[in-house]
Amino acid sequence: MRYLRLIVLLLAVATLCMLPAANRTFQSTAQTQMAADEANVAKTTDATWTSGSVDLEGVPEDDTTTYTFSTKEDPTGDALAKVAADSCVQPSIMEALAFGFDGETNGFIPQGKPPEECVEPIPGDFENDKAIFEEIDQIEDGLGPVYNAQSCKECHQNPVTGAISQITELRAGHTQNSTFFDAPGGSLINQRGIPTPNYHDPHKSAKVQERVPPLFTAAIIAGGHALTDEEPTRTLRTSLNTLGDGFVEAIADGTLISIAAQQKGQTNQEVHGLVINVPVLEAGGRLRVGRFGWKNQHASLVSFSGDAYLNEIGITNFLIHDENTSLGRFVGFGTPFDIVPDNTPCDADPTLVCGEDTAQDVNTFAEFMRATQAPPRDPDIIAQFTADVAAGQALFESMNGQYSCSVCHVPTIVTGNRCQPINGGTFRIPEALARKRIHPYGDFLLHDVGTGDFIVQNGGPVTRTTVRTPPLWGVRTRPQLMHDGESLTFNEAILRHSGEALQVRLRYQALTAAQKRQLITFLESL
Amino acid sequence: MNKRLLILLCLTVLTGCHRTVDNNKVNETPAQAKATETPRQPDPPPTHDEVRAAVQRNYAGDVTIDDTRPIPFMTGDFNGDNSEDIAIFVKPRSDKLSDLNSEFANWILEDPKQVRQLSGKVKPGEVLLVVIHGHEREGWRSDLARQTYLLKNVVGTEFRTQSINQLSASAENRSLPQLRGDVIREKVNDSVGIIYWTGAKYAWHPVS
Repeated sequence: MRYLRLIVLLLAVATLCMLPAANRTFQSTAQTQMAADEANVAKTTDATWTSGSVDLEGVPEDDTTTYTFSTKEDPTGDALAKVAADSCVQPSIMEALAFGFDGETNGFIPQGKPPEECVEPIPGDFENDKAIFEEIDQIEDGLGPVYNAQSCKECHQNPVTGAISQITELRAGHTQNSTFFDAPGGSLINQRGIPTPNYHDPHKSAKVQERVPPLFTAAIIAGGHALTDEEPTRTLRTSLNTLGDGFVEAIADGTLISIAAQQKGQTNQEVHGLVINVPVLEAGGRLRVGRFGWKNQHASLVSFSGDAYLNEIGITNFLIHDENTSLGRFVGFGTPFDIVPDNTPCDADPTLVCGEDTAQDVNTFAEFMRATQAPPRDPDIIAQFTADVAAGQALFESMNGQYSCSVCHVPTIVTGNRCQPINGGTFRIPEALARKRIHPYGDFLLHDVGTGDFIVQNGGPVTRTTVRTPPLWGVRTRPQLMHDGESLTFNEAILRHSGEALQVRLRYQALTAAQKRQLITFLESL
Repeated sequence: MNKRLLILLCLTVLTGCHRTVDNNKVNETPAQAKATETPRQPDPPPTHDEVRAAVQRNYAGDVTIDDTRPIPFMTGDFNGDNSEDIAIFVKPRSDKLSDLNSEFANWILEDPKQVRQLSGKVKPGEVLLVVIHGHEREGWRSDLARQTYLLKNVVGTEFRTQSINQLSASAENRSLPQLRGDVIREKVNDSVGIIYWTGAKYAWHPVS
């Protein structure tokens, strides 16, 4: 009997000891279950590409012809010629349209005319799609309950719709035993919330507002409990450019994979872009090489749009039906905080659930981005500062006779063949986007250059210290540089590079002031 | 038999308790997490010659070590990359001010108390704090250790390095910002604070 009492006592002590762990574990499990979408959840297994894991989309993984690290030579695109033998007539390889920040189509869809005032835009042409991209969502449209912006344009506007902005998003979580865990509900901390009803008076408050925990009053929402644990792994991330993203989507998986392989060879393994496979939501989760977002969390523009519509604007859609939580607390339809149901069928297809996006604007956003021209360089800067731009361009490609910035900020890539199925077979590359030379000055790969934000999304733990190489096309429109916007001059941004970029930064530091000026003049022309 | 069972149960319970506490005792910062992967071996204390060489390598005669201070330098893993860094008090050479303030300088000049603002220029005679980030095992002694920050307006008294582990375990931890590495603790104008790495810059945080 005495032993039994002792056993009971010990079991009670053990239970008490395990409670804190259980609480954290419960939160982690709960947040996984409640997570609105895959790209916003820290995956626990690595999504690293391995041979045979994705369709190469017509370009072999050892290709060297659909991109170049040189700023002077164009890639031949020979690999594309070898596979383009079907009935689809292939256009010759040519420059992608990048005339100016004019708000003009690249030919994927017709330009059309801006919709008249008070007339609902009808998707299908550039002007109407743009109007939908610019539309301001209200609470009755499904805005929120938690959100970051009311319109795509709020984060993508400088100097034209679809480009960048100064807006940063906030992410947070914590790290235990070298593993990243999301803040409750996902690492994204939405910075805005809709007004919410008070329980005992007719006025409104702001109960769904998220913040980096702790949030001691979290129990004010039913089902919530005080969030006392801190989430010390935090970052800001600047809004990304979407101009020219149709061309980026049309880059074959094989091209990105081969760029990563060539980087290793050219730099004695110093530079080694990480390729990850991510699910294409509209293809039932089929895998493709990630290329969109600071963590390469998306591979298609439809998936990216579906994610952003939910996570940035708070609108559920045909790809993601679950409303975002407020720090893990359910605030969707059925609570006092959301008046728009998430199970409404699509207008065009009643068999499909569209949630709050019954018009399937997600598809229109993707169509708009696919139709944008690539960010143009400034011809006047190039003409007026010809010598400096040319000298800077040469340094960008090679410093001290060795590899330089262009090994990651890849100057030229050729998009895939016309009719090539991509995005898990849900989209075929159209003529306007096929076999185009683009100049992104980026490799769309993840690298550790010493500035990693320690946040993990759907790439798994291997991506913790990495961020995607920011494409430098249009960088002259961005006064805040690097993923967190914390570098205010090009010189400072370059000096922050370390890790895989250490050798290139050292070479930069060895340049004369005049050479540095030339290199930066070149960047100002992009 | 029962006794053996009881002892086994006790051991199981105690082991379970121990592990649970261990797993949850610290909310690791990213830097700590990185550090736990391959623990850094303690480096030998810096010699004056080594410090002078590191300053020369990075600043090429533009600054000189401020030897008038009781402790002119201190080491720690300030940016949390598992490599030893060094912080050194320096004075600008008056004939090199234009180099120090150059827009193409090889260091990032900043004021940790005003990280969001453009920092002012280095003034003649102004005592500055240089932080040189280490490179891998050799740390700040490495020839490749050339990422360096030149900090204004944070030179006070009572300087010391405080380790991130020490701070994480202290009562002050609750009120601290996100720490990625060790910090420099000091007193400036009667205010005690820490200089810490934000991931992009060095920032000041008052602790009293």
